[in-house]
Amino acid sequence: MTCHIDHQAASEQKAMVFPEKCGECHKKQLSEFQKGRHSIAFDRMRIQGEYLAIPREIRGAFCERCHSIQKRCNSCHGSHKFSLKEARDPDACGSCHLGPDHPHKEMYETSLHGTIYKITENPERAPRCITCHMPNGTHDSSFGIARGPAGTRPEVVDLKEVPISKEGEQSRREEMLKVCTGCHSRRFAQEQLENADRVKEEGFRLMERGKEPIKEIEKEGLLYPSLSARMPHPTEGRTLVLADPQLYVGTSYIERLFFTMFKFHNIRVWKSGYHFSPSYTHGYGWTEMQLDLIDIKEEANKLKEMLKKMKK
Amino acid sequence: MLRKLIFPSIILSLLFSYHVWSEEKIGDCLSCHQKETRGIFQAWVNSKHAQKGVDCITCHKNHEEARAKKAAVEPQVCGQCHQEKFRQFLQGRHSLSRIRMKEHPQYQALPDPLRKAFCERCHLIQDRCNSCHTSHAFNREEAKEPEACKKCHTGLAGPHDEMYASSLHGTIYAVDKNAVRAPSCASCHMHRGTHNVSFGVVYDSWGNPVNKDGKLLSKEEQEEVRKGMVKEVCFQCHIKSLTLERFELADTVKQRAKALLDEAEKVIRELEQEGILPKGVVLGRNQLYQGPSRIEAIYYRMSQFQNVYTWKGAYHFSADFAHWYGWAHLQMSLVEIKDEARKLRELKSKK
Repeated sequence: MTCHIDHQAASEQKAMVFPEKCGECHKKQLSEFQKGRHSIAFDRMRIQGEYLAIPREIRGAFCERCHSIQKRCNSCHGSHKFSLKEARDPDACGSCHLGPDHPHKEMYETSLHGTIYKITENPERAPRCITCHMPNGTHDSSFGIARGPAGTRPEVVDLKEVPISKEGEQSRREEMLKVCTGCHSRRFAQEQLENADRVKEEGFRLMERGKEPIKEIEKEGLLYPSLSARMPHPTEGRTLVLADPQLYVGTSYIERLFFTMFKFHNIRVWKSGYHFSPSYTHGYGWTEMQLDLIDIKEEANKLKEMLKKMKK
Repeated sequence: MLRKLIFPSIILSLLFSYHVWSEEKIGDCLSCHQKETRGIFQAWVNSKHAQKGVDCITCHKNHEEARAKKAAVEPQVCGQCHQEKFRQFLQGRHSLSRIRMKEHPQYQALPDPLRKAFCERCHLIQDRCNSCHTSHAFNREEAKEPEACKKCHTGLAGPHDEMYASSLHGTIYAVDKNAVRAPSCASCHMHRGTHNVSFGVVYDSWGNPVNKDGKLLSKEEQEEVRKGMVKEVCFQCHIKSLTLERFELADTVKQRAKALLDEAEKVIRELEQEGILPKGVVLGRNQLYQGPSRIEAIYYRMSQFQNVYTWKGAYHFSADFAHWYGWAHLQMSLVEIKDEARKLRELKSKK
């Protein structure tokens, strides 16, 4: 009764209990939750081009499974046990934060933090996800995220999508450093995070290089299907969309090569920089991006060659 | 009478003052670090080092020196106490990792922040004993588990962890963490705790039968090295003849995979001869992934990844890696290379 009220109400909601309900008792957690990105996950999903391009009937099996965290406190501490122990385990985060488009779980597991934690299961020895991202049990999941991109924006934005100021970035970085200095010296932690900043910049620079051949191809009218011949992008219309919110459906092959480069490989370079997984930031990330770039350039060359022949 | 006591009492008081002096110094460290780097303190205070009186000063000497080295402690320092382990370490490839990294053109081609985040995170094991038993707990139990190796020996270029995890050795170990039942990485590669990680390893990462310093091994020498592994480790559980058969099978797999690589290289060299590719194509060991052409990139994947999965997968007894990630992909890449060659020839001819 406390949560579901009565059978009628429960039936209508399909047994869902919204965070506001939990917040009637757990006021602190709710207010913290509402400061962080988890609390806008569903709304942001609904306006994403990729989501809109998925047939309505199957969205529930894909994006919504994770993004519904906005409406469900039981995403992490599963009902009806609501076990704190379960929620604190990296696997709780790992059921959403994994996979080719954001392999946080895999990065963590191939970092020193993750491998030591796996062996010792002692959060005093090595951090788990919540150590850094929900220190002292804060439910503000945007804690300490100083540098963008975040979500699909190139810079860190607040929940109203206003980019945070330089001072805001600094204070968030300080917040995170406070966590790191629980174990590490400040110099060390600062160096590592600042190096990760630079890794991120390099990754994005490389990604930009992948766009150039495609833009040229588009100018020469060599994209097949052409922008006018294909379904318009749900939010961007009939323009060339490279990087967020690029679709993986209905584009030309050369754009599809770039999709892998930005969506899977660049993500790894920069996020694994911050999660300190050399294997993911280099082998699975940067190396793959370089190989993608080769493929993109070759494809562009081939398309131009074909055009030359057609003109003969 | 008193005079006879002066000299010894001077000595004694010096000794006592040294002892007191040393404690004061530790107090200096702890007065900040117990709070400032609480995790480091916690890890140390519960460690065997602390039990045995090995403290900050033993390894870090003094604050200035520690600062200058960014708190790094070289293996030689650890080796002052752990002499045997240090000596063994110097016999194995880990003790060359930084040197090899610096020689590699791919490392040289990367800007500095990327080198730090990519190659150096693993290859600096040459300079750091805390790569495996991490500071400041230096817990042997941590170092023994496959996860300790996993941070570096994983991923695209060397998925040893994944191969192990998809072999019977690894799957049984995952369920029953008992090194008598199934081997961990250390069981085979650091037999009896030897820090010579090249123990029993015949090939370098390129598949050449060389010793740690790059000297080619004769057939007899190769057999000696292999026997070391097989006799001391494998025979503890397995029947002799079957074990040797398995290794010979892995040898055959390695040779056949190399043959596919050679076939692919031949295609590319022919294109070079015909002037379709510019002269001086670098393939294999010194090849960069920032190559100019797609056909070279396909070969890069073959030699750097797929071939490695095939033969290392065979020696780690992972059918999944030896076949699907390895051999099957080698074959598919060969198809791609041949097709790419055909396309390049066609484009050239119709000009």
